[in-house]
Amino acid sequence: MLGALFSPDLSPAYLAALAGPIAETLALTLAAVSVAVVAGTLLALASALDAWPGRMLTSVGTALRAVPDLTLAVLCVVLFGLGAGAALVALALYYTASAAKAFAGLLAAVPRAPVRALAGTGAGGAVQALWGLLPLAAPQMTAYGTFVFECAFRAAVVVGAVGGGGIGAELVGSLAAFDLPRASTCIIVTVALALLLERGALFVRMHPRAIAALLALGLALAIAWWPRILPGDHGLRAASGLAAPYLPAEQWRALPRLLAETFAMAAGATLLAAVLALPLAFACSRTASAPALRLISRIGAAVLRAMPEAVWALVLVLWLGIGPAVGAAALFLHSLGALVRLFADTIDAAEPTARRAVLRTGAGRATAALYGALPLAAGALGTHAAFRFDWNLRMATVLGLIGAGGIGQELYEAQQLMHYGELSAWLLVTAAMLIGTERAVAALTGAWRKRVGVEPTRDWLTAPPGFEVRTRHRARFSSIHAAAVPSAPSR
Amino acid sequence: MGVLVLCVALAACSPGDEPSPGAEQGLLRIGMIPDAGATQAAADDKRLLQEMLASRLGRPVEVIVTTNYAATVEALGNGSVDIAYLGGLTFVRAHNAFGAVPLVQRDIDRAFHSAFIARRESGIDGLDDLAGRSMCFGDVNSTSGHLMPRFELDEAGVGETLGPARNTGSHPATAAAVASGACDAGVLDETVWAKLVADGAIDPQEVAVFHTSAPFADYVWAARPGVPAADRESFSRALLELRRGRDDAVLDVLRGDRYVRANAGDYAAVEATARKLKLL
Amino acid sequence: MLHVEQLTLAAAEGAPPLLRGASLTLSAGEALAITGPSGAGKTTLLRAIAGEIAPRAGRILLHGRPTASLVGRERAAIGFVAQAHDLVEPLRTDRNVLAGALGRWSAARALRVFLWPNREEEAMAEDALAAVGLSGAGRRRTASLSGGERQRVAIARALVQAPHLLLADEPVASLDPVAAQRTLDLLTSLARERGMGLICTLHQPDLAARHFDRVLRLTSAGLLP
Repeated sequence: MLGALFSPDLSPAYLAALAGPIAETLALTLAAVSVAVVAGTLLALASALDAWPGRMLTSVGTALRAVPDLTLAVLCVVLFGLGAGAALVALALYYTASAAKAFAGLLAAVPRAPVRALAGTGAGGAVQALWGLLPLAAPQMTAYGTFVFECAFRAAVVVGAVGGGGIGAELVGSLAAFDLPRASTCIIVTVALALLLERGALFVRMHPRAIAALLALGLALAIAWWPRILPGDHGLRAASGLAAPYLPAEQWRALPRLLAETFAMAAGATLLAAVLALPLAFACSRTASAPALRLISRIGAAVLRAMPEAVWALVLVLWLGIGPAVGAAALFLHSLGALVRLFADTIDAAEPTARRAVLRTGAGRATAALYGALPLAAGALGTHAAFRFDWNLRMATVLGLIGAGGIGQELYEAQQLMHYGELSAWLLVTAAMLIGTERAVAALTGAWRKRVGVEPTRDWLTAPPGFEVRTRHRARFSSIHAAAVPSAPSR
Repeated sequence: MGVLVLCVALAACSPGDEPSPGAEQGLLRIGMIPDAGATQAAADDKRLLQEMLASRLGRPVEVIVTTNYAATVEALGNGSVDIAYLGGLTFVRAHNAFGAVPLVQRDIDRAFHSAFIARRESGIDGLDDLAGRSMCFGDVNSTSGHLMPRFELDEAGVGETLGPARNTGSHPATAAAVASGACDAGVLDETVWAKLVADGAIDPQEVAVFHTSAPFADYVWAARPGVPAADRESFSRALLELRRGRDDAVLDVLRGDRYVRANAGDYAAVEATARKLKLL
Repeated sequence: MLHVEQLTLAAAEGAPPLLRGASLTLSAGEALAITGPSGAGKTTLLRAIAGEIAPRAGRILLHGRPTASLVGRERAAIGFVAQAHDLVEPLRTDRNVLAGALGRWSAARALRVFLWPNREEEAMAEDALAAVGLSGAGRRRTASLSGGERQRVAIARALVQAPHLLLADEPVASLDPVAAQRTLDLLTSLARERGMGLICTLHQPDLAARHFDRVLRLTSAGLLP
């Protein structure tokens, strides 16, 4: 039966039928990211200039980011009805919150002298922002925006499966119906698109004009697709149910076990992925590996990370049945792909003089990287792994939605049974767990940074979860890393 | 240039200019629970249904298979679809929440059964053998895949002693989980089981039915209350007029032979069971 | 052992040559100092001798082979102590010292030593550290050492490498006078004991005259005695 996964349905009729869903997913991503970039920029500017709604809305955004995007989409289906509109609202909200936070950090790192000079001329806030702030932060904001686009595409695939559209619905549907040849076609298409987008993101970063065109197109799509607030009392009833969180006694008793299950899934996956990613990162490294080996391992890692965790989980269900093991395995595979790339780039970006000195002893490239670059990169690698754990915990709650156990599954079942009070109680539990862990990880990595005391790689240490680094653009990215999460350590 | 191509491609699939649901002679949106899995682009069989309805109703019809049962209920509640194909429990939910109106159902839906399945080598021959064994159910909102089997297990006294249990999300997924050994036993819609065996997706030499449930009322087509009575009636008639020998293709998609009018009162037993199991 | 013939060198392509038609020979166990003001091209000359920079003209032969043709493990024949001594600072001192032996070890052994050096390898590191007067420093983090100590660790690494030719770029530039004396004594005596050719660049002519067998001045006119 599983052999069918390796014989995709490539008939012209099916490929033609997929064109619509593919376009829908891409358009959904573009529309959501455009809204997020524009709204995030406005929020970040308001917050940077101390304008009234900025800070308040940014803290609302922090709370929003604690609700995984897929969960947001489930809620949006309740409130806005079935279809692309619900998914659009969910993705736009989630990524607006992310972008606002990252952009606010970037703007905070911009030197303030020009703004003060403009304020001295009596210019208003908008003028100050346009002339004094945006031009200085624009390159980093562009880089972050393209990065968000890649993330949002993976999310759109998964969210589409709930919102009722796109390649994700097709993929989930094919898997559920045992249509493995078609499911594997969808997987190939998803992976290929994700890889193309990685390339495209590099291109767009070099061509700012393309960004303007894409933003305009995205906003137009968003306007066309923006859901009507549906008339009738259904949404109202759901909202009033959500306003009264409630957990029955037996759920309270199950809470520790569910939390432990969710944590175990994320921790096991992250640990195993980090351990295996280290040797594979050497194979992927530009400075340590041979070209052929590098090409093979780079492609392997790219495929692993191109598949969203939830899609991995759906495929693995066929092998491993259901339960936390599938969730952990899915998180592991995606994390492995992401960490291999991240680790390889970090090792390559380590201060080169030490590695050069080791090369001068006649050492091979891999050995030189082991002795001369890995020790320098160790602190950054640890931090990347810690942030990956944070991210995996978030995704573990999402994977619950496909039957992987833990908090996510309870949340999903409450929503499925339309027990809105329970649903909002689980949402609160999830948010508390994620915010608490985010703080703890930030504090831990801060302590680790002090202990390891690796100053040269310091700028890697604040990478936001999943922020994948390209060495070619290291100068830009490292400043993003320094700035993107300025407020992360617990205050 | 690439942007332009994308633009055209998107304009083609943007729903922005569609008439609002329920508009006079406008698009009729039909939602379906994914009882046999959900795909849009690949839904050749759903296309047959869509074409049949469009030609009989004389208006454009869109069939949307959601990815889970609850989404169909939400969609019917908030007006994203006008008429929906629901299971027994999802109908009760929709009826209680916003007064969904029952229209028609297959004759077999009045006395439907769940099929309990296991691999032949598992040694499971009856409900009593399930103690301590893992069990797969379908969607949590499925009547034949979850609610009624749960009730029957409780009645047989094995509900408490059952091993780990999971909801797979759909009937075919349950069958796959059992066939692959992920679950010791599973339970699903009897018609989906028959179709999986007929299509060769499951080998009956390996997986077999070891118990069939008592009858209960299941699937039903229902309209949201805002749909005009005339539209409801023309939809009902379209299905009631289906005949074996003439409409075989569509009837095969619907896994039935004959349609009859449905009645909300028939679901009292399902509702009472759901309340007992705290699923409502 | 080392023959430099009619060497013409430039810092970069298109730049005016730093050195035109220079020649020198060095025998095993001989210690040579090259002095000259900053910017005269001393580092460029050393890197050319190490085979890292292609000369514009002329030949640089070690045991009759062009140094630029020494690749991979063969590079172990030339030791290089750079001005910034290029140690891996977060690493333990003994690992930095043992890195000198990587040219002789398989990748698997390199990995094992990185994780768990055995007694023999620990002794190898300790011997080299003792030779530079840092006995017992193997377990310390390199970052915790002083500048003079780090300089000596870099020399210990070069000893483990056991090159035929040791190049040292301004090895005492950042050291106080006492430490500078001691380091130069150490380098020249090690070269004589172990039969290594040694070339040091220095900018203090007095130190050069005191410690080295031979001193050449690098000027725009070439290498002058």
